[in-house]
Amino acid sequence: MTRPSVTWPVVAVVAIGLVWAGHYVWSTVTNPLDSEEAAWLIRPLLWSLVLVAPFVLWTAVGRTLEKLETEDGESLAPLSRKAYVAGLPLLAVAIWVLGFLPATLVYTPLMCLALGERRPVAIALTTAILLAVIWVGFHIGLGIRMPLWPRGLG
Amino acid sequence: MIDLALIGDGATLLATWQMPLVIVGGMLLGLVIGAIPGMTAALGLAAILPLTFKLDALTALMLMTSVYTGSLTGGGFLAVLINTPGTPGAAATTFDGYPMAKAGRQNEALGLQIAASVVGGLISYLALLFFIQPMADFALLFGSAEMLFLTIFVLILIASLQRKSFARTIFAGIVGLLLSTIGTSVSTGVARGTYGLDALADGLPIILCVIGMFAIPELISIVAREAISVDPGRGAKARDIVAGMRDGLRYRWTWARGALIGTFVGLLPAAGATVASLLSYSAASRAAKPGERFGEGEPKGVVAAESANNASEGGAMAILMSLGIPGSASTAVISGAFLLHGLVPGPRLFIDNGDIVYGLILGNLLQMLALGVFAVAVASQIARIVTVPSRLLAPALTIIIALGAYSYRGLWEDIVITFAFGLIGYVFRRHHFTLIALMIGLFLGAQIDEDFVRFVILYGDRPATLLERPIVAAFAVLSLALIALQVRLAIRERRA
Repeated sequence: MTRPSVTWPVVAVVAIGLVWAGHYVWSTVTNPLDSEEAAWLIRPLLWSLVLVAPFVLWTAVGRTLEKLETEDGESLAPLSRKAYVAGLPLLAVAIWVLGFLPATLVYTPLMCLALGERRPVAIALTTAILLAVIWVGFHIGLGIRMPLWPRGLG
Repeated sequence: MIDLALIGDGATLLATWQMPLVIVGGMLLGLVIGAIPGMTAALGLAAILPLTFKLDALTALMLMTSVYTGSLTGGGFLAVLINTPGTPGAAATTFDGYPMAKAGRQNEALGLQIAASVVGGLISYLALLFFIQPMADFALLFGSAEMLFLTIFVLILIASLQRKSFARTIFAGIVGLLLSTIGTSVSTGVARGTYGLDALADGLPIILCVIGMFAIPELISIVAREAISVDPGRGAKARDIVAGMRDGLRYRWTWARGALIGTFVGLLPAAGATVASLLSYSAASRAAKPGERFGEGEPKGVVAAESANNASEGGAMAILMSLGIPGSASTAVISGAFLLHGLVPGPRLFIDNGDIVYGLILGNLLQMLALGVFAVAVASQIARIVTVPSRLLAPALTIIIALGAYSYRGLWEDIVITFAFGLIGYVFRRHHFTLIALMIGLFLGAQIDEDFVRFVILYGDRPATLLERPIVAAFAVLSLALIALQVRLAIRERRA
């Protein structure tokens, strides 16, 4: 038997893909503007997806890929991976609220610690290099306008 | 076909003291830009465009094309070192380049990549010098129907390379095509799938989606390891990179085939480099001898992909200069540089400014030779990345990716989109929904959408006439043959 942990994520991907694609096509064709032409490509793509889905599910409930999927060692089980994934939305929000420089100042040391780094000098150096890259490389060198500080301060 | 007097005039224009400076400066800048995840060649080119105001036309164009050449090769460094194609054209480089880096052979892989890039670029610019007109005529054979069938063929080709997950690869490709159509439909003006978000009105930022879905899953993967390489003792050694370059030159048939594929497929707008490198990789893996393990760190895989990737640059420049069509965002910015200096890309460019055009082609040949030297210098520094502890590397690269994402359009939402595609990429990769297929769908879908509308208007009532077009018929037959081959192999395996 294929393990449920191997089967269910595939079923979920297929289900989410089909639901999203169905809604995408439906919302396009029901657009009050003349949108039949806008769905000329996406409608056949939806049907192609529906056609392929059973074959994908068959490989998930069958044993075709079981060996591959249990050997790749990329699960989210290690704590460091969980911490890294959780840090992504937090970083995005921090950049929105604090701006790039404070967000980097907060995110980098905390994430380094969460991933197991215990040398203060290495953490400080990494943070300092990143702050320099943002300020000197991107802001001054490339002249990119970005929110460096919290809104209203920069 | 070729005007020797104009070539002589072009060579004379190159003999100025500024020329070596702009080639070296542009090349180094391009290599560094290409090696930053999230930074695109187009962004780097746009940033330096204002610097060219005071330069004469040829010097300005040489600076721009040096940055372009450098960034294409720099994008390949990322593909080898962190499994992230800096440009979509470098996607096939990850197949064997990254397994080599993980096994501690990153210097060799970088050497192979640099040698193949130099040779591929040289061959394509030589082809440009001698055959620019036939190359432009070839590109014009590809109309909307041909591009549509080419995309279908490429998706099936990728799926056939991923035999054990054939259905999932096709599924990922179709999802990619659907995602790429999000935004305002060019042909009807109807906003599709934007959920009212202004950031999606122009569609998804494709290059950021690609960076996110390749880089983030890799970072998720490496945080549970000490570093990228299993052999951290072997960090960066220029001598090993040069040895890798020597090795790369030994695979004559592989790089020659890759360069030819790259030069001609590179002519196709939007698709060029990506399709070329995948086709070249596919051709090399099908010609594999016993013992050659493509996908597990086979040097020929890196050579095949990168020679085609860089050779596509000549194709892209050919189509830009001869027809005035920019095939990518980068060549669109270069086209802007032409216009800024009073040169109009298109058929009259050769008549009115033939000396500058040939000067530019000769200068690009010189660039390719310089690339070999400077790429080794930059790569030997960047290769140290594989030995940096992942607990420091992952947060640092995440910040750089966020910076690159924000820089793209100045939108915070782009950071969210990049990270979201990172998580989608992780789930897809973990469960063998091939990311390359998703990327191809994303990258070609918008063009296909336009082509499909044109195709329905032209042939909607008589689709069978399509098969009278030889290129369409050829791609249709090849696609069906590939599917039949997969079915046959699956049945044989089941019986065994």
